[in-house]
Amino acid sequence: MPFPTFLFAFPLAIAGLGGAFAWSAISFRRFARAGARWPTVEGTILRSHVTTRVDDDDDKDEPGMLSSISVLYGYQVDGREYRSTRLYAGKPVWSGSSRAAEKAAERYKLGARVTVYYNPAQPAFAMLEPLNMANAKLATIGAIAFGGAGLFFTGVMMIAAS
Amino acid sequence: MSTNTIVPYAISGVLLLIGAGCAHGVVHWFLKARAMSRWPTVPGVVTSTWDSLDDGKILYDYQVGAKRYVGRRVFWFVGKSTADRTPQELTETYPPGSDVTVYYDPKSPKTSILEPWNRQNMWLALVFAVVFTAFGAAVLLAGLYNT
Repeated sequence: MPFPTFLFAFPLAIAGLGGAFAWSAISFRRFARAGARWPTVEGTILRSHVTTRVDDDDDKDEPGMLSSISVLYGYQVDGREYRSTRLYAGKPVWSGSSRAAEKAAERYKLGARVTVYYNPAQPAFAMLEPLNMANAKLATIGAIAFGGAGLFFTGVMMIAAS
Repeated sequence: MSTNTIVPYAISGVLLLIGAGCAHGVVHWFLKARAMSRWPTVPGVVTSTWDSLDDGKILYDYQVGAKRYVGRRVFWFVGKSTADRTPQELTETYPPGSDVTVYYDPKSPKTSILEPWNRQNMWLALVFAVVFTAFGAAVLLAGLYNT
């Protein structure tokens, strides 16, 4: 029976997903480098706490807890007041270990003075940790996992087809 | 016709149907966005407070004729997805007190929008439309080739 060639589409799609993750990782890194060059002002922590949520991953038998740090800080640019909750580029990353979030919360205690990096073209867009690569790391893991799996299975199918 | 020969056609049929459904969503979005982008515009001001960082609710004031209105809609969307903008991202774009351009429905000025061409959820539908159609076509072609 001839090998159904259409089956190659599936591992190649998985490899393509890996490529999308790789592109995302590169974008995050570029954005981080740009953010680190933004002008800075001094800001104040107005709220800081560790937030937790239930890990609703269907693959796990026991639901675990995910933690993240939530901060609110205020700063001024050209006499105008701004507030932000953004720590770094991308959406907040949740971790299975609460230690990292607690460590960050120590750094951002209520009333603490912080350095705020703000986008000069859009001062409401600011970050406290422009070089934090949390999202870039996640995207890199996705790129390696999906890209590797896609290419591996494409290779296996090529051997099977021959 | 054996079962083995039917399988690729069945798979491609399902994939092409999903692709067509997503494409329909994209066309629907495009027609609606085009209609809204042709609405008249007036300047407006964001009146929501920094609480929008928590609840993501953006409010804006605008005036049509002698009447003032409060708008709530930033963009038109169907359903929720993980690609949705967070309250932080919305507030970064629309901080309190910032000036905005408001598109309002001339037939009902209380209906308004800030981003008629926002593609937030459309991208996902477009990606699905392309991926499912491409897969469906690939499976169909492979099925035809193998028979």
